Amino acid sequence: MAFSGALTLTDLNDFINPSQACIKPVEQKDAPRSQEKEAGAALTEIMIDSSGTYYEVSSLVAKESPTGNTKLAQAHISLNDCLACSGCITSAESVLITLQSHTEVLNFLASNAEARTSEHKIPVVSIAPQSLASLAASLSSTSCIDRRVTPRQVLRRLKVFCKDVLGFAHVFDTTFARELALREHVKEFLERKEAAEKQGEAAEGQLPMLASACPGWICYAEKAHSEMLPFIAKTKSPQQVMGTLVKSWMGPRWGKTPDGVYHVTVMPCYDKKLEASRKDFYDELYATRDVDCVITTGELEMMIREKGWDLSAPVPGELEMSDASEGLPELVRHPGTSSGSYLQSIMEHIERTWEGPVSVSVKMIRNSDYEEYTITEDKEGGKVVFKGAKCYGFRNLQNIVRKVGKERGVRTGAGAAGRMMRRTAVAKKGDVEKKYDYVEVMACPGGCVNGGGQLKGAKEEEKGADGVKWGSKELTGKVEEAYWDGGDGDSREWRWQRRWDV
Amino acid sequence: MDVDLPYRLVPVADLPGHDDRAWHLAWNPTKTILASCSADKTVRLYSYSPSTNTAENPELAFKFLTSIPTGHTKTVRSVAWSPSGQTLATGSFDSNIGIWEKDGEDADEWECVSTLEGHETECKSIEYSSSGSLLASCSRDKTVWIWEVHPEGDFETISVLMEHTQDVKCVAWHPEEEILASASYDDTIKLYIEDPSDDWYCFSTLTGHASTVWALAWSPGTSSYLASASDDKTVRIWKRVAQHKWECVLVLGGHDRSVYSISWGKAPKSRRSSGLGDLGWLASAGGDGTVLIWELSEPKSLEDSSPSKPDSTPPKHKLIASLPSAHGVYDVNSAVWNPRPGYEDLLATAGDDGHARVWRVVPSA
Repeated sequence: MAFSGALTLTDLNDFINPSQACIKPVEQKDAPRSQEKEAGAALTEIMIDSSGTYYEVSSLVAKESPTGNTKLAQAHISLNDCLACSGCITSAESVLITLQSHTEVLNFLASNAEARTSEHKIPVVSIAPQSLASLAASLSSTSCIDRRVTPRQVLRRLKVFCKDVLGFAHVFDTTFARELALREHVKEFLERKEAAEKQGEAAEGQLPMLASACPGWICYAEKAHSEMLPFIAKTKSPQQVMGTLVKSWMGPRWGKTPDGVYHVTVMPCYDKKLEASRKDFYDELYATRDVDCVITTGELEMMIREKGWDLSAPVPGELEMSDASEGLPELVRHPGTSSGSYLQSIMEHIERTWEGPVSVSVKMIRNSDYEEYTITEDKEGGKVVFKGAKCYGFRNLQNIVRKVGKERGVRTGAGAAGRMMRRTAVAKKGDVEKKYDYVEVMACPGGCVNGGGQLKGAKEEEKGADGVKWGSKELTGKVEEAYWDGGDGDSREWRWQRRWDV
Repeated sequence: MDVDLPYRLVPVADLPGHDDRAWHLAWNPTKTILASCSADKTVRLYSYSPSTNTAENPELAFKFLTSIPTGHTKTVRSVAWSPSGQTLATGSFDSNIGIWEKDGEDADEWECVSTLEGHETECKSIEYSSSGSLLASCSRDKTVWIWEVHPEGDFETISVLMEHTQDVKCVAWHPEEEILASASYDDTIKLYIEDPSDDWYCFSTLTGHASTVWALAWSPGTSSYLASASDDKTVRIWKRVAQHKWECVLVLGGHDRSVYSISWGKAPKSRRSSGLGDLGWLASAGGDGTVLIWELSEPKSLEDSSPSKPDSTPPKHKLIASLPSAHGVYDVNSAVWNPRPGYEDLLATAGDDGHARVWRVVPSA
């Protein structure tokens, strides 16, 4: 299955190497009974009660004892287990992944019914800004400095490629969907904050709100740290907002029901395929998904090469600043981080709405992948209004999980460790350090510009002086730079500009 | 052959008590305490002091102090003391690491002040760095983690190193520098340092062993040597030939089965003053039940050898003692030298019989 080899967050210096065999063997808690059942028949069944607890129900045991149901321990499968694995425990996942490849896209386009027939599905593609940045950085690195290519130019060229060569009807970028996602995100934060303030000490699982846009983080939290789930935002990611926009808002305008649109997204991340495949985003009424197929930046580039298209060649009008011909605003800018500016959008809201002047301070914890942001009132004895953090990469993610677990009194991990702790961690008196209100969590070091689906560096891994591996930081830096390149020469400026002041 | 050896191991104490195999031992670096851990999920602590009843007999009396039930749900595979001797860490097959402290100097109870979760499966080995500011752990999940020690039993993950392709058996910190070594079922040893602007990274992989590398031990002091014990029945000595380069300079045989444990201590002062064993004593033990003691000395440096040329001359080595059947018919899982000055001739072993034993190395004559 192409999944494993491709689904590697390779070149991430704190991440995972893939292996071919599943490293999570099934544990059998109950010793096999001596009684023989007919071959092929399951000895036990798994039952789930209303609280979501799993019980092993054995027909044999049930006869012997009145309480024949064995409560099952939660199986823990980490991101490491999952991503390092080609033999998914549920093969359903891997089947879904094969439905999420660029060949699948080509197959669909080839077999799509004639236009103007009722079976014809309108093919639409939506491209993430990080993917545009990756392609732009790759084009810029292969040409000289004054031939720098911006994400906007890349988008314009891709519009031509996707429409003229592949046959897509519409080509969007996902930033307008992100704008909606960010607004919803801020709204959810305010709701949680209000609920937390109302409930006071009794507030549980409201704050800190943890970003939900990174499917790698979601996958890991669901499998290894279920105690974090209440904190994770319920807001859809930009990809899924785009899915809704295209199928339920644009679709009717094109005279189509959701199943009459075929929606492909281009993402910097393999795990976005898993996100699109979630049950949450399946429309049972029309038996269709908000996003039908996700391909990575690398897969898109492969399609471009296979079709013999030259992405380095300019297309007419590619330098014009605005193009609303598709019906949605193009390349909406969100200052903050290249992973979506989730933290920034919440901070901006607080700064804008707080009564009285406030100021922001930033503290780097260890490296740029972990930064703490504090908003404080500008007055004598001014209180801390907000404390948030951006936290990228598996290592920092560990520390966030531990910190949030400790601050909010939720047990991290299994009960075993909980039993060990006899000296309960009680916050010292006078220890009134402000807890986090929000954390922008991303699984990849460097965030989405360094996603697993992005283009790899042309060169082999660079070697340091001692023959030491230094990773692909340089490449990530280039993509980061390209991401902020608006083509208007002041990319650095507007990056820090207040979005709402414009 | 035993009769020819200049030293022998005499029993000092036999410490039964574990209900299952004893895996590992740790001598407290500042106090007279020995800790042992076992598949019975407990840690047992013993104190030792000169025996009072016989003035001529300098032998030590070992006294059982306490047993820590730990709460680990599976085997406690390894124990490690912080350099201050105040904190004990336990690494368990339940994948967690326990951090234990006493509430006060006089308190009897050891309390769990922290649990470190992160490993996905069995934690195999843990060790504090020489400064005590870092703790390394390794696991069957193929990873090596580095944790930074904070006040109040707090820890921060500062690195997750995924370099090995198999189960990682052992981690060992250089006695002075912040260099970490790890040994694995993938037959290799990896060495790591911190990139000050980034993360920790593996700067060297030592290959040579033909099977699992079970244990590692740095030579004491300004260590230029690393010893490794393997399932291939050998112990290899790796020498630092450049700032970031170690080479295998010596292969020691003598065991009939897997070598599970090695410990490299200073030779007793009396021995060192005679100009021998300046590199210390190396104890190895394993599946054949035998404990071997090697004396290692710096090779005579040749005056004319240019300093720029890597000096890969092996250390002088000599087998000075051999003890068969240290734990009867059982495997010896661990052999550890007492690091405290004046006690350098004390070796503790742990075996599948669930016993911890303490031995003294004495001249054969």
